[in-house]
Amino acid sequence: MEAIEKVGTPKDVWVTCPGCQQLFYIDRSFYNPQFDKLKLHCPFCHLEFDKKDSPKTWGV
Amino acid sequence: MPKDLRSYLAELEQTHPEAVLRIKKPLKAAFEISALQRKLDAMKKYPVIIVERPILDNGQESPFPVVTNLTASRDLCAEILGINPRRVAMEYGAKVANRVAPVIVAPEDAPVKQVVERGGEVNLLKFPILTHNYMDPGPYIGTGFVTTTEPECGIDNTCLQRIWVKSPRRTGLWAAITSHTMQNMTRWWERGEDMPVAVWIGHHPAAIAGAQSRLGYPESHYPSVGGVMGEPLRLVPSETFGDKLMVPADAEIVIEGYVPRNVFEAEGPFGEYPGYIGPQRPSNIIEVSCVTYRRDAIYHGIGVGLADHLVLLGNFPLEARIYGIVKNVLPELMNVYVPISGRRNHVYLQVKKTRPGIGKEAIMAALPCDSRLKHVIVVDEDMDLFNESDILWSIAYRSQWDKDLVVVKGTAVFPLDPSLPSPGNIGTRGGIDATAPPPIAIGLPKFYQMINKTPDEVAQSVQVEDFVDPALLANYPTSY
Repeated sequence: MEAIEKVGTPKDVWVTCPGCQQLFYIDRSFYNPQFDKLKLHCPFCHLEFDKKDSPKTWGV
Repeated sequence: MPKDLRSYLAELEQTHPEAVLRIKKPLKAAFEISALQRKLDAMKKYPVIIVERPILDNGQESPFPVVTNLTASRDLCAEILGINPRRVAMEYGAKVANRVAPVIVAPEDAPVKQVVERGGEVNLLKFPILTHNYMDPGPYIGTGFVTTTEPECGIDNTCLQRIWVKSPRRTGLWAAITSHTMQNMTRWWERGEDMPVAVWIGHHPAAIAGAQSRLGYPESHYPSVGGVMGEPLRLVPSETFGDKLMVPADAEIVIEGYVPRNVFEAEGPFGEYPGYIGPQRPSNIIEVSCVTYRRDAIYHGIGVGLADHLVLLGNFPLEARIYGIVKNVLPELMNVYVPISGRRNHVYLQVKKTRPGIGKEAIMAALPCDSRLKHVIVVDEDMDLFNESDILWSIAYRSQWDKDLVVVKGTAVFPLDPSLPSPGNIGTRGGIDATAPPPIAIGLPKFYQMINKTPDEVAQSVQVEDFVDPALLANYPTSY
């Protein structure tokens, strides 16, 4: 995973789907220990994936 | 006949045929119905839209029509409730306060029980549930009234919440942390139990208005529904939970199930009422046990983030709540308006400015009324509260920001605001006192510069229709 310094609004974390490469954003609560293992769901291709598998992530 | 969605549509088509748009061509439930609704909304045209031939995601035509834009027009919504659209704050509030106890009917008298499907028979994807915005991950029920109970006392709560239909018998359920649904859920889970839930879709708009009333906790919304409808809401026991969880007998569709303890899944992104697509969030789910519906059910969809989502479902209840609270401490309050443009974050208050300080007192009283309320603008009685040009004009010429601005940092606000810093839902709220100084003594005028005005006798004698062909009037250039 390539982490990039946050840009724009710091409110959300932007991730890239490892399947279709489309960008979408997630709430920071996915980084809370309670939810750290939850799979993300790509709204475009519906791939479920671990956030560590996002090729590029912004705003962590 | 009891009031229900179809009785309202029949009445509307009879009394206001011009207010109904029937679409006979096929339209896809995914994006196309919302696209049409969004384009009409941009033109500020708000007919009730009935899509007779919605197309499901699998390409098949649904036997269930879609109605949407049901709650978009302020004038129509007020007429439905039998109130003045410029006095919603007072008159809707009075209806909610006039509680009418619900009545219980037998399942054979409940239209919503005409079809009952359980377990593996259930397939929510056969309903034409709309997909709204380009980043939405799938179809969302935007008009699902989620009824749950407080487990100790059994009092029910009803709350409009977004529901992502993920598969035939599984949905997402996102409830804000401050919602009464979430309070019930926490209490069920603390007992080590999954939370029973029923989601009802499609009812008379007055029932919807009552269900959306802002009440205390725990407090049933069903008597408020009766108050707003002007007749008792007919209830029937749910299939899964019996009389422990009652549902409206005259709804179009009821979905029953459980919110399992400590089960979370990714939900969203979802375009919400602020007009922004909120992020994907960890969220609860519903495991569906049963669905009941009318044989010819009408699916009630909503224009998420459009006027349809705001006017009756959010603004009316907010106006009534703010008026009720602020009027108690500030008799000079005259009226309250929550405009579509502010998407629940703005409220305009009109006051009779008889003494100094009233403007700021109104702001202080209004801000705690609801966490959705972010900015309060206070104007004088000579302004048209429902004309946003008058509101902006007041700010322009009746305020000095160093003296008239109120800023409150570090307060809880609704989390669906992209301008909030992360994490959490703590932000800044405030208001602007855009009122002129009061008269210096009773009986004297306000010593404030007068508004431009034609002499009364001339304004009376010069009438537009004496000089302008009415047929041409509508075609003259406008401006903005």
